[in-house]
Amino acid sequence: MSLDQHLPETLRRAADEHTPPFPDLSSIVDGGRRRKRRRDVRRVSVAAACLAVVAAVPVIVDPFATESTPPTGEVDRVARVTDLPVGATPDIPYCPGDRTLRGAGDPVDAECDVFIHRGETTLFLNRHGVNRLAGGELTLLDSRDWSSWYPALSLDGRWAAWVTETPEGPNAALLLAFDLQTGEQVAEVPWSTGEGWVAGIDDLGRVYFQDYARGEVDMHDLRTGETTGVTGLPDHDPPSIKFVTSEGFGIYSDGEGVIRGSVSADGRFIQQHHVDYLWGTQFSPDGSLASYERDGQLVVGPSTGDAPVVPLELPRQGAPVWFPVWEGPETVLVQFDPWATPQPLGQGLDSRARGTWLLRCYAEDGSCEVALSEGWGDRMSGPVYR
Amino acid sequence: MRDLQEFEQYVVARWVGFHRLALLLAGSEVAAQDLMQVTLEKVFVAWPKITTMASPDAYVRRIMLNSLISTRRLARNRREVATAEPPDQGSDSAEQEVLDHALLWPMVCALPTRQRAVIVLRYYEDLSEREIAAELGCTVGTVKSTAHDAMNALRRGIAAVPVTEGIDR
Repeated sequence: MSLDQHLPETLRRAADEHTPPFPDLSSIVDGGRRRKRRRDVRRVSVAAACLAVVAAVPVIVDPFATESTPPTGEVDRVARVTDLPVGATPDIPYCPGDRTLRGAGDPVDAECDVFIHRGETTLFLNRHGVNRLAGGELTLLDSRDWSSWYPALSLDGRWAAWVTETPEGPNAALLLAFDLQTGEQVAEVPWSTGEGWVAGIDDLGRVYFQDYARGEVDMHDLRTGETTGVTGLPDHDPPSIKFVTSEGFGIYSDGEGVIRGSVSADGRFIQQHHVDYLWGTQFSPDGSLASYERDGQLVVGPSTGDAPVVPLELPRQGAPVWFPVWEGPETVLVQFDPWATPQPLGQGLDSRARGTWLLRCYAEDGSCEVALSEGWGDRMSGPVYR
Repeated sequence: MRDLQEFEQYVVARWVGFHRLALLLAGSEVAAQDLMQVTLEKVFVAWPKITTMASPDAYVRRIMLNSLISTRRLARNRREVATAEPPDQGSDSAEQEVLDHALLWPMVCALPTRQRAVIVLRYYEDLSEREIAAELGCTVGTVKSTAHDAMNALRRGIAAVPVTEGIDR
């Protein structure tokens, strides 16, 4: 018998000799969640722990219970989500729960998945790839899997950029970018994500990539096609971009917190001022307001200056499952799980929701109302808006 | 993740098959368990995408192969495994007196990772050279040369054994 003939039998016997242990599903699932969280955290921030920690309540409360809730001293907050007034449906695209996408022209037949909405632009991410949702149509931009966090949209909604995921590994990835004003793809360049992630893209079409291995931030200018290293960064190793603005970004600085700045055409970071907000900050369409998490509360305040912030008056029972998305110049939408216990959003990156409500909160006074009640989102167990 | 229950059902249904493959690829029970854990954690992360695939098993197998090769590559690059002894070439005298498959299996285990992967995919998974090339992300020519090297290594191992029963050299 030849070696060729022997090998199949040898391998089969070797495989059969060992009785597989019973699968430890909880270990696999826990490990998978940790892996996802590590990947996400590494990509979004090495300093997520800087977010204020809210003491978690170690019980799951019933948001619809009839008994009264102990007073907390916050008289403006209702106890339960069902106590909120009901408002209009969202002004931005949404899933009402009937396997359609609405709010962007005629309804589109599609199961709910992930929306990314900035300015007037909405990306819709589903199993088919990255799509643009507009005019009652889904337009597939690219079918390849994305990696390195979710695709980035500039604040004005013009530019979109993300990195593909390839079976060949992170060194074979591609940076894809689209000018959504013209609908044209403007970049498809080799891009390694082995030790970094795409932090975002500004309104000038400049993609910021922070590389942990080299301890540097690169800027890829979609208009010129050139990639340059950003200089003048504040001290912190590795660099940790917290958010991207219309013309630059905010980055962590040792001893100072987060410094917001602009970036010159030649890639120089020009420090402007210190800000309170961290990762997860979302800006209003004109950039004048920011929503973010502070001391365990979601707040809205001016993106610059020292004017006081306004806490969002969310129900006491439950918690938001993700950062707010701006619906318009004065309102944000909050995905709220009435069954969840409070936890810092920056660390609950893959938090599993159990039936969220979509709440609208007003920047002027923080008051909230129901935009969509439980059942919206077609059973999505994670955040719909990113 | 949209459906945890679906993921768990998939793992349970495919557990034995994947575990056997992991054992052959990794070469030991302990390493196989590690490889299974890493692979299925990655499968968990990618589950929403995997459920849409026509052949999820093939994708999982690719994840397993990538995990195997990248893990070995990392270990080699970081030089974490220091040993005073030369690599085992599968010619331990204690194995010379056992049956053929028990003789051959340690030699397969002693092959470099890529060579072992090619042998397992070819002779256990019964994949063609073209399919193996797709799984490993390399050319058919590379598969041919890797398989050639692996078979030569196995034949050298067999030749080094004084007594072999039934294996043509």
